[in-house]
Amino acid sequence: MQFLSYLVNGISLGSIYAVIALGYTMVYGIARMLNFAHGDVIMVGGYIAYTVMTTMGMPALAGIGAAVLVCTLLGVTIERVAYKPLREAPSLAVLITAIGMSYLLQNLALLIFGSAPKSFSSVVSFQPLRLLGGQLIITGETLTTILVSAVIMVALTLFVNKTKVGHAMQAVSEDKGAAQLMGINVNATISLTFAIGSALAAVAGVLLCSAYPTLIPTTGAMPGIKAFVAAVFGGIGSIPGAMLGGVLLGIIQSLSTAYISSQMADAIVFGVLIVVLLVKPTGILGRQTREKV
Amino acid sequence: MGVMLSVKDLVVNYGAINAIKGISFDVNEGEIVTLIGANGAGKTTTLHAISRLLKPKQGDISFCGQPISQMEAHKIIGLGLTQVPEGRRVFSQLTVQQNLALGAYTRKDGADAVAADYEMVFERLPRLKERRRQIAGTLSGGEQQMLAIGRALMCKPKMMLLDEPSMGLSPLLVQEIFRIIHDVNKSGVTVLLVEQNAKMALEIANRAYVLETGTIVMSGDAHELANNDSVRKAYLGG
Repeated sequence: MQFLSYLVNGISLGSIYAVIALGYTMVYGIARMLNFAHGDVIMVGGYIAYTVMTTMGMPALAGIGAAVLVCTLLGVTIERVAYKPLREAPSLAVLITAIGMSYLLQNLALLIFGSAPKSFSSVVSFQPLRLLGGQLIITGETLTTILVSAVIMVALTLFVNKTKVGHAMQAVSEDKGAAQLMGINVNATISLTFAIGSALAAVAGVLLCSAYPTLIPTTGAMPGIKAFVAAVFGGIGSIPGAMLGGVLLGIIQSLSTAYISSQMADAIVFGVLIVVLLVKPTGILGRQTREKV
Repeated sequence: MGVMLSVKDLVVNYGAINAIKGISFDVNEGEIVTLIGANGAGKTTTLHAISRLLKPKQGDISFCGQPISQMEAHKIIGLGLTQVPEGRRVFSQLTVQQNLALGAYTRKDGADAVAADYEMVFERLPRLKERRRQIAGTLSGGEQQMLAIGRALMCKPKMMLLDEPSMGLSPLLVQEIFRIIHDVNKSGVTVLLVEQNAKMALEIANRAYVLETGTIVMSGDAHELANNDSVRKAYLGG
């Protein structure tokens, strides 16, 4: 029974990683860049929700809405201001800009909200679920996280695979020049990708802070890195890969913490990544790009 | 027969390389005009400059009287000017049908009109119909070329730029692709064809321009050029 409970916790944590990893992988797929500031957008989402809910005393739904709105605008603005001018620059320059943006966001949060941890009040208000005669207890946060993440993943998959705009995104991801020849506005598509990724980061931030209620300016850093690992693990650029990678990573982390060592859990997570990449360099669902003549 | 595409004193730099050194040419409505030349002569660069995938350094390009050299790349197709790029560049992870749908991405005339055009494309390129649900990356080279042409037809173009459509195809398929280009032109689409296969290109074209290291060195009636001694020596194997 213990095992089941660790597993459910792992799936829940992994779902958050998956939602964050979707942002990494979509941005990578479309803009061919690693947006290392993505993790910090999660933190911004947390602070916005905290401000609206705790400081202003408004309901949880308003907090979530505000977090999504602000993060979406933030993501699009970051792309316009910091990354777009570097579209033709070497990828190293873009990477360093992204790292700089990450520290900028953390330090802005430090300046505005201070270094003292804020205690985030959960957006979930329902009682824990008791299953199997009370032996397996699933908290409201765990259940909500899994459900919300599942809905997001299904919705995003349908959007990308079944809609005209989704197909346009896939086209831009594969070949920007050919996409432009079809009349697809590449800049608008990149903006849309950042908007979706950042909105997801806001949701992930609220879920994360509900489950782990201590909010500090570096709250997003570690989950951001883990989600990046999840995206690479599943195959960077692949949407199902990010989902699978995120959930697997959460499970591995949860089970390692429970059965091996809580201090070693992160080392094991990264160790698994190294092994997977040695065996399959493109990640679990990553595709080798082939050209046909 | 008015001038449809007009290129004047076009200069394009590729990094530090001066790829196009001031060329001028016209394509009239209804024509097939071919731009022939060796590898590296600047043929693809010229087409990319027209489609705005590359920014020209100097010169004017106008399509149906409208200047387009400052336009954004994704707006060009809205004027009815489409390109079938070198190497097909179909979207390999999408199906044939989805590729065709992206060809109609900018159309605003409704789903029925687009659906009718799928049938028009399938009628002209029956092989695509059999494979409409297949992932484009799994098609053969010839089928991918047909898909690239079908995709370009889906925008209801006035003019089609074709970049090396015969590249890498077997002689039989080359024949078929050129027959398709001829058909496309007969249906009212003006064609600017870039080819290394000068023999085939000169056979179906009305007029031709010969491009050598970024400069037009010869131009005229396609049949006359095909019989010109220096063209024969340089491009038709003697």
